[in-house]
Amino acid sequence: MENPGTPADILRRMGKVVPITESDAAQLHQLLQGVHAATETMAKLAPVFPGEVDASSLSLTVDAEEAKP
Amino acid sequence: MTGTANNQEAPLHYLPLAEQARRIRAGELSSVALVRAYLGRIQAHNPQMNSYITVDEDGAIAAARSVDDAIARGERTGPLAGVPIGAKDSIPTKGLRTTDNSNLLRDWVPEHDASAVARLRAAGAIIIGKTNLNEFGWSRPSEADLAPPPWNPWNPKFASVGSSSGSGAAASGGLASATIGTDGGGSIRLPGGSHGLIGMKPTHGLVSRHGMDHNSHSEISPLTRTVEDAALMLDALAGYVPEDDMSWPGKPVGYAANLKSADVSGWRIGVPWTFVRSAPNEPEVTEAFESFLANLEAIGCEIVDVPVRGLAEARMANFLVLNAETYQRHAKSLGTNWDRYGEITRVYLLQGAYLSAEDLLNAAEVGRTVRGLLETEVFSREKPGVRALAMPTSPFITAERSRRPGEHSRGINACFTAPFNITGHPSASVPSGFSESTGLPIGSMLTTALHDDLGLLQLAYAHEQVTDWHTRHPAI
Repeated sequence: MENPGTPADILRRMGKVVPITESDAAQLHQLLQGVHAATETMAKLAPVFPGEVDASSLSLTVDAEEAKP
Repeated sequence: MTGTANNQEAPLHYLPLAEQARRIRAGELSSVALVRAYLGRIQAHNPQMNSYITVDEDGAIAAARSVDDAIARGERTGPLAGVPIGAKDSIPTKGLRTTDNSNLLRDWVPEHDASAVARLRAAGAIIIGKTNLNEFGWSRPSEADLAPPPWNPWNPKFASVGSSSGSGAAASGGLASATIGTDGGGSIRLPGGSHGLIGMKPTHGLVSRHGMDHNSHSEISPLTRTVEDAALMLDALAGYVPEDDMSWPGKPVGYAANLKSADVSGWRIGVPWTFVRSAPNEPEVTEAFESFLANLEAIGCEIVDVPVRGLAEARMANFLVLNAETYQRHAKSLGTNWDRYGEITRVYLLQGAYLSAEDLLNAAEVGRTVRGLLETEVFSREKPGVRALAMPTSPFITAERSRRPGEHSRGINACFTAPFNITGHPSASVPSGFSESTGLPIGSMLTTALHDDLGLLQLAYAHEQVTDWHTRHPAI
C-alpha cells in the first residue's frame, strides 16, 4: 500500500470516486495511518521466494513489538 | 451492580433456552405463551433499549401456534421447537425486512433465508425479530444510523458493545430465548463479554454463511445465557452446505449430547502472559481474568504460561482482509449512494480502497502462518501442548471506552478476539465477573484447536458449574 499522504491528498484521490468532504478525508486519514502501518508489517514479514514467513520474527505483544518470553 | 442474583427459579423470560424447549416438548408450556411473553417485554423495553430493529409479531405468533398444534397432535418436533430467537439484522430472513441498520437497505425484504436461519427454523426455532447492529457490522455506531444504537440492559447508561450489539442486549435483557449474530473480529465474543453471555464463534466453516454476503473470516454464531444453550444452538446451526465453498464437509458431533460427559481435570490451559500483559487492560478486567483462572484451577485444570507469537500480526491481517472485502462489496454502491450510508460507516468502508492485491495476499499468508503455529506449537497433540488458550475477552469494559478512535482504528478493542478470526479457531467468551464501577459484566475467553468446538463447550460448561454468573440477570 502506498502512503496515503495528507488529508488533502486523500480528498483529491477519493474525491474522484465519491463526494468526500474535508472532514471525511481527515477521519479517513487517521484510519489509514493504522492500515498503512499494518500493511508495512505484513510486507516486512512476506518471505522471499521460495521461503516462508519467518515465525520467529513474529511478535509476542499487542503492539507487535518484540518481547522476550 | 444493577442486576439480580437469582436464588429462586428464574422468570420465564430468563429461563435457559434448554429448559424452555423441554417444557414446550413436554406440553408444560405453550410456545404461544412464551412468544407472547417475549413480545410483551419487547413492547415494554425496546423503545428505550433499541435491541430490535424489526419485530415479527404476527409471524412469530403464527409459527408458535404451528409448533403447539404439532405437539398437540403428538408429532415429533425439533430440539428448538417453539423457542423465539432474535437474528442480527445483517442475516437475511425470508419475507422479513433485513436492513443491516443502513438507510441503504431500509426496505429490503429478502426472498430467501440465509442457510443458518433455515437450519434454526428446521430445528423448530421461531425468528421473533431482527436485532440491532453497527451499520453493516462495521465502523462505530451513531445516533444517525437507521436505528439508534442499543443500550446495555445491565446498565442502560452504557451503550451495548457490537457489532452484534442488539443480539447481546436482547439475549441478556430477556427479550429472546437466544440470539445469533456474526463475528468477524470479535462481534459475538465482545458483546458476549459485556452482556454476561456465552458468545461462541465456531470453527471457520462449521456454520455456513450461505445466503448472506461473503466474508472470509466472519462466522455466524450464537449468543446465549448458558453453555448448554450454546451447544443446542450450535447443534442446529452446524452442518455442511454444498453451495458454500467455505462450508466444512465433515460431520459435526452432538454438542449438547456430549457436553456434560467430559472430565476436564488435568486439561492444560495456556495463558500467553506476555501478550495479555501488554494489552491496556482495565484493572477490573485483570481482576476478573485472574478469578476466571482460579475457577479453572478449581475444576482441576493446570494453568501454564505459553508464549504465542504472531497474535498482533494476525489481528492486523484479519482487519486488512476485512477492509478489503467490505470495500470490494460496497465500492460500486459508495459511488452512487454516498449520502445513504452513515457518515462514519462510509469513511470506514473506504479504507479498503487503498489496499493492493499484494497487501491482501500478504495478510492472508501471515494469517496462515499463525494458524499453523497455533495448531502445531500451541494446541499440538504430539508435543505437550495445551487444550485451550485463556485470555480476557476485551481490555475494556464499556463500549464507550472500546470505541475511542485512536484505539478503535488500530483494533485494540479486539486485540484478544480478532487473531482467531483469520486463524479460524473456535473461541468463546464466558461470563467471569462484574465491574463494580459500572455494573457491567466482564467476560474471559477460551480458544481451542480447529474443530475442537466440543472441547471448548465442555470446558466452558465445567467452568459454569463452579460459578453463578449465568444465574444473574439485568433488573429489567
